[in-house]
Amino acid sequence: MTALEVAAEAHPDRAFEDLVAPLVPAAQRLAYGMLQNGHEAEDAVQEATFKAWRAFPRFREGSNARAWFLTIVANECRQRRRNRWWLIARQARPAAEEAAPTQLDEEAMDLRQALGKLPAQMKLAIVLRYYLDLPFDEVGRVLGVSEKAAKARVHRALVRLRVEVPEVNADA
Amino acid sequence: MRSVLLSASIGLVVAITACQSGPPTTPEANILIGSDFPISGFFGDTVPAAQAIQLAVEQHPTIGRFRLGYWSLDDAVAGVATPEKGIQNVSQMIDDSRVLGVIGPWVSYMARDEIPETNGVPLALISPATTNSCLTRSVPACFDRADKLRPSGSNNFFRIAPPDLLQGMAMARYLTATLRNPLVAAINEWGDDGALYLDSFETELARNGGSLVFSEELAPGTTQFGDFLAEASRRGAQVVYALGSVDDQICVARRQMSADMLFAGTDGFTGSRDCLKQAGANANGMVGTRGDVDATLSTSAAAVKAVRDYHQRFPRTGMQGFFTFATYDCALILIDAIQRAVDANHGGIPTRQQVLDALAQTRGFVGATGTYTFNSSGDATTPLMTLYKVVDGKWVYQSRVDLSSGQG
Repeated sequence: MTALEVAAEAHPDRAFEDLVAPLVPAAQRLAYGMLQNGHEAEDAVQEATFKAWRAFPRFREGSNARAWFLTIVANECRQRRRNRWWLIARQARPAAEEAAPTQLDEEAMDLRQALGKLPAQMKLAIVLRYYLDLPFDEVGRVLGVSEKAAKARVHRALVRLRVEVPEVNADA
Repeated sequence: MRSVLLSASIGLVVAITACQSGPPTTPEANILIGSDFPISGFFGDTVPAAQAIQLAVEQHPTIGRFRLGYWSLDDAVAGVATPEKGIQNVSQMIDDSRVLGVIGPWVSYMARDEIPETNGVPLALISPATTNSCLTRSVPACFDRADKLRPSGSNNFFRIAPPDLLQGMAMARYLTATLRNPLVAAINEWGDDGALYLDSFETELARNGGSLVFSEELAPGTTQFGDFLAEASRRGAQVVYALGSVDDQICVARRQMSADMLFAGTDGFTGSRDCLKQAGANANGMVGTRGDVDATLSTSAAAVKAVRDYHQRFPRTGMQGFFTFATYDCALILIDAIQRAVDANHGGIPTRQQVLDALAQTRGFVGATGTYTFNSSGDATTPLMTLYKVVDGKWVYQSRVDLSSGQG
């Protein structure tokens, strides 16, 4: 039995908290990048954390905890994106976000809108790589693909983004 | 062009919401039912929902010797449900002693603020659409545990929407009801998240005589299912249960299957036209679950009557939202609780606590979307899900699945 397994058996809830608590900020950034609504992102992370807690007995020491948790968060966000009322909500853009943008704001808004048009998997790849600054091997773990495939997916997503926003420049 | 469209959209929202949010519909009412929905932000779904409450109130203009009215408030700011506005709304309702219960909130993150705000009063909330697990559970994984949201120590929040994870159980019940001792192989592209669905699926399947003969975790985006399908076939599987998303092309698996094998799954693809394209000529026969109940497709007497009444009252409303009739049921459940509280109070206007107690004691209430009883946490103990099937290239309603004693 490993140290984590011993701890998890003795104090399962504390072991879970110790594992997940440091990952919550990254999860929040991922959820915000995917959903672009702070409250909705917080709610998605809450539900994902509940699912992670239910799934915790499957977690094995030595596994990449961040990739494991972010995978669950990403699934939760994808599930919410499929939900019809959420799509309606996104169509109703807040007026404040549309008002008198500066040049810099305008570019950021263009980028965000272009990101919103990407298919879910491409969007997830971009968020993991450029919002969370994850290395490609970890991007691959969350996406469930190899490091090479993760690079290719990020690259394809960037190509799509550049069509919408020519200023996009990155390392993939 | 964008600003023109935006102006037109705002104009439409204002026009629609002008008659949907504001002072009570019946100013002289002695008893009010409130609602707190993002009317101006989610107008496609919440306007019909508010209309459904209005219909329920019009069908019950009096309770005992008291006049019943409806008070709809909008919690959207700039198109998005906003907690600060929700708190302001429920505070307004708390201040009007005629309000004996509120239908809402619509989204889970609003409930995290509105439950504690109303809990000490106490004012009953009944929600048609919130599904966040932590709203009714007190486990370490919840940042805002259910007991922390209820500072009085008593529950004042009820909901009728089933948790997503029950989809596994729903499909197992459907399969074992339609096939004799089915053998199933499962694809899981959702990792540990998918394993939770699979756990409840496998347990329920085995309980009813079926068995999971093979399962495999595959990477999201997999498009070659030949090896999996060969192994499933070798083990005698009659059904493939797929935990994956149409975004990841999960329905391509159906295209590669033999037509005599059943393809089943969750709202990861149920109802999706992209899924039909991915499945190609093999699309017919696919089945999938959804966590909402569409009363317009039900043949139950309560559903047929509710849908007919709604269309007669609001003939110009071209579409209902997913939760229109769930909202209608919430209104009827609340009205029923108020009626019982009035009776218990010897015909006098009940206190909010009496209404809350009556609501908690709701047992076997037959509504348009299901039959409802609440547990001590406020969850419906008899949630329902809907099963859809592809017939002639289209997703069509197949049946409702009763998930009694399925809360996990």
